[in-house]
Amino acid sequence: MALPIEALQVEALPVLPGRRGHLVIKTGGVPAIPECGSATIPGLLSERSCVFYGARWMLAAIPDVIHLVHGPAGCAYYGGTVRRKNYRVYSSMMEERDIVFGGGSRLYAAILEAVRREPAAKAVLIYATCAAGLIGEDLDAICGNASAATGLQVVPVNSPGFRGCSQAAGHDLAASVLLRHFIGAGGGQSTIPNSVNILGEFDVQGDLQQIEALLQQLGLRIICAFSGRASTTAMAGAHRARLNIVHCRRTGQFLADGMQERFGTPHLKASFFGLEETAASLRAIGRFFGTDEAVVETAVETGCSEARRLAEPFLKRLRGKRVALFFGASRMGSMSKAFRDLGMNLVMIGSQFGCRVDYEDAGHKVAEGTMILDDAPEQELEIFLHQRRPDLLCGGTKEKYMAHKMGVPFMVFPQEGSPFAGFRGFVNLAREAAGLVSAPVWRLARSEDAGRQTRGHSGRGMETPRVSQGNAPPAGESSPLNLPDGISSKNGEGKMEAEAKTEHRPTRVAVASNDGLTVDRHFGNAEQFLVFDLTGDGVRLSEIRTPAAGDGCAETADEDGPTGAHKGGIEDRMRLLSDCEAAICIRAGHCAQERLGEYGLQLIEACGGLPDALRSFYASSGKEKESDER
Amino acid sequence: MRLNEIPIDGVPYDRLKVEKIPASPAYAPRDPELVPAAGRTLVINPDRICMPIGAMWAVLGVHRAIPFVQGAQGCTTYARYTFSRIFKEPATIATASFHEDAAVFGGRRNLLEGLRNLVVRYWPEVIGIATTCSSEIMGDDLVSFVKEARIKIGGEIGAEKMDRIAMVIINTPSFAGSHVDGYDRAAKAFVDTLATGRDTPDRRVNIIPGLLYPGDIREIRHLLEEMEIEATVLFDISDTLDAPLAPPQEIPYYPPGGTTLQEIRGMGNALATFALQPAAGAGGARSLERRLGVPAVVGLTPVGVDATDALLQNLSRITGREIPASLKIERGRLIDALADTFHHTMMKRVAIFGDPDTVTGVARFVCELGMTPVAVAPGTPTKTFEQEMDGIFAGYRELFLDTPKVFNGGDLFEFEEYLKTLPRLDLIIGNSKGIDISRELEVPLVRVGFPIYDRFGYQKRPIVGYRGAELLLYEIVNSILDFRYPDDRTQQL
Repeated sequence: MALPIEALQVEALPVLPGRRGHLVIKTGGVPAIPECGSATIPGLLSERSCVFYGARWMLAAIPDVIHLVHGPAGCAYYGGTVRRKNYRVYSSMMEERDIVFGGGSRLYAAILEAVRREPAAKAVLIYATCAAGLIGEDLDAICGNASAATGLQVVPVNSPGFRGCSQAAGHDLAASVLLRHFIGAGGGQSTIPNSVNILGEFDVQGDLQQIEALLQQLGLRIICAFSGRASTTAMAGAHRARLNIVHCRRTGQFLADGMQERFGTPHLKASFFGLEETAASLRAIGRFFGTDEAVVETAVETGCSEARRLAEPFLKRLRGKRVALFFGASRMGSMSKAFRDLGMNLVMIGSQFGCRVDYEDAGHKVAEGTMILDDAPEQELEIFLHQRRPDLLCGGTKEKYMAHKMGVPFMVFPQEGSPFAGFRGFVNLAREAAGLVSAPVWRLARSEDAGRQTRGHSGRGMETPRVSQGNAPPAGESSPLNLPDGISSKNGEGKMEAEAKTEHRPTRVAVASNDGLTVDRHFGNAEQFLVFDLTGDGVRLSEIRTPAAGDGCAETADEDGPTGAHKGGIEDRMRLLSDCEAAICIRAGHCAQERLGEYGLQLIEACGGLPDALRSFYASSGKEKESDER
Repeated sequence: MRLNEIPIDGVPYDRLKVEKIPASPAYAPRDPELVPAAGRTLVINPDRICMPIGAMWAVLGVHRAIPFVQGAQGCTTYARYTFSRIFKEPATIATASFHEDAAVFGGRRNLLEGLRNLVVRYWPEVIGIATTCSSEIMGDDLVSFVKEARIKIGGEIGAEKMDRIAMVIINTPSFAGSHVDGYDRAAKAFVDTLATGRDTPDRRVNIIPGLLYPGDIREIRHLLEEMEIEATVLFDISDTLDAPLAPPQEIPYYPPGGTTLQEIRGMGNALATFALQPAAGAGGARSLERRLGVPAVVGLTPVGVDATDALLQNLSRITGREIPASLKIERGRLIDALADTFHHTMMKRVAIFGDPDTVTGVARFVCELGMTPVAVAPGTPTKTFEQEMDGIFAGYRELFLDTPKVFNGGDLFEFEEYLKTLPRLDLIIGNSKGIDISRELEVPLVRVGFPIYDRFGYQKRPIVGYRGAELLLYEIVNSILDFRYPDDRTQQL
């Protein structure tokens, strides 16, 4: 009997007041759209980056130009790595005197030297950083002079990090640079038949080859892919393509609009991630070019069936698993489709800097009850992972290690190993996801966790000693390893009779929780108990009860329980909860456990997310009831 | 068939490796005038990052401390990527999220609001506020901003709680130095702000390790434990950036370990301060000496026999503790390993680059191995580097096959071009940035120092102390063997 736990805590995550609108849940079939596109609240661990980052993301892969960063050493170092790949970056390495007296002459000299160093380069891109922006460096003038001296196009990319709200501003900035200086520079008006550009495709681990192979089956040829395959020559002829395929809206749409305006090139939004999306994209492209439908259908059918066959062993392991996605922006929608093709359930989608359109698109593609999160700072992700415990989180490298610490497997996207695009890519995606969710390491991590729990660790402060032999319960008293999610149940057997209640009466259970999200308190020192009513239809928080201050059981208080408390406390607590069937807490002392029977209370020791604990309790009590009836 | 022609999973090997992507398919011939870094303004492949990341590194080594970066989001996000890639750990770093308004009106609002949000969401014990180019150019008056923020936040959460949160301002204008300088400034800022008195002198010593990895710091702790010396390791990243995976975690996530606030406050009472890396940390040690009279012992990076001996002797001299037999055994094992492998290491030519103190430490060690350091290049120039190198080489000059070339500053392009002019080179020792050079020259690379992002485990394997030196020695010898005898699978050494 599944508990509709999503009904509980629709507010979902505790957030700062200013962040409330950024978090919504899809309900009632209408895609809910979070507040988006606004500046990040300072002081949080924003996952967003700066304009320079966005510009590098777009431009780094252009091979035959010189990339010169006008700024301190740090920006040049950081800007050299894009999508985990190293690119050569030249730097003017601004120093203190350049800040004071201006770095113009230094930059000019550096440009000339860079051109001498790379005589085959076709153009020079100059990236301005915060330092250059703040001292008001006249980039246009310097670039103009350098251009006259070298005979090459020297293009300023005015990307000081403080511009805009996130790297999205950098994507648009870079796109406008490409439009203004590179695209269509080759002249020639005639359109090349059966040719396309792909916008917003960076050829991560061979994605572009997969897409190219699919398009070849339709008889199409790629002129230029921005910017996975965008040499200056390719860009110069890009305006002659028949169609622009926008693969990533965030990085491609601006270019597509610009090219439509200037050259009249039509564009089409497509995605090659996941079977359904790939098939739909191929069909749409086929329709545009008037390709023989049989050809398209053959390509789709063979591709899909082959991919299904190859992915089948992996899909079995993924079916019904819960996945959360946290991306840059517009991949949310297409990737959520891909994960649904894998048979996984989406519990959350989120992005760093998605816009309204991105959320609308994604909102249509996700199921009811999915959480949608905009510009989540690290802590909200942390709480989400802790509370909802998805089976897999997919996002960028920064989030990876936090997810691991929270015990959640993580998949890096843009991916690290093999292509994910196209039908073949789907198999790779399935293989990787299946490998990650069934990794033995998580079983090992959990058993350690359960083992620790029985030894009396409350995990409040890391500096407290974890293992206290004196508090270890006698062997055999509990066997948490055999129960799901580290939940151990004590006194369970003696309570069978009490469980036999009428069907319609809700099960009342108290949870020792201070933050309302996790089971985080010892029975004896909980400041409050949340009392829930559980019925077959859902969960309701009926009240919050506050016991009188003081510890319950001084002689068994473990290492982080308050000491010297009065002994009467435990009785008060029992009485306070006497109408409940169970109390869920991270741990309880011996005297509490001994006396629970007198008050008809069942004691459950659990840790982790509150919804999970309730769900497990409900599942186990349901089973007991059934066996009782039999 | 060459290695890079063997396809792995259908992808040729050379597409998998860290690529060096020139603007043209064929390498352009080098303009010889452009090679010396001193003769050009252009910087090609610098081996240094900027100041704030050094300060962030330092703050991450303090217990329940969060760095707060007064700058644009990129300054933080890039650094978090860098830490994640190197340590494979989450790096909790807050940003002031500078946007255009901050550039126009200054960063006051961002700092006040940011510190408040950080406090109520994370309840840190220490906040290390690092500046960036933007806030330094705008001239944010951090001292008064922080004072104002403390009053405001104190009004909200209660003055008593506010008093428990320490805030340290670290001025790190990116353009004024590298990550090494950033660390040094953080060390100075922490002791200046927090270690303010020498009221109850005790028998502890202070260790400022510098930019050493968790494995190195654990090795230093091991030495101290064997000597039975109690020590404060300032910026102890050994647990914070190498934390166990043991869910469920508490929210907010704080890694275990780190130097506690109380320990830092008591640093003024110590017997002495050891700054193991002169360029990264000596500023803190000297400040304690000047202000509170805690003697400073600066250097040597304890890599190799002589340098570790010197560290232990200094510790022994200052604390009065004997060097125990157990450490003498470790030393003996290292010496034994040196003797056993010497015929493979002697008369090999090696080039070393990286952070200045790593270079000096490793250079001293390779000299002990009978190798010739043909080129040494610190990414960050220091005033004393050339002098230190002279000191190290003095005892070995007659064993050298060639005269070592000592760079000071410069970039990896210059270093690489110099190596290409050498008739022979057997080994390169440096960080991951050297992989291009190593591949192109077909000379093995032994990874040491910061940053190592393309291989696992180096941040846990020490190079300091006797045991660390032994591990480094094996790495060096095995790299030479792999390279010189790649096909000889049956040879018994």
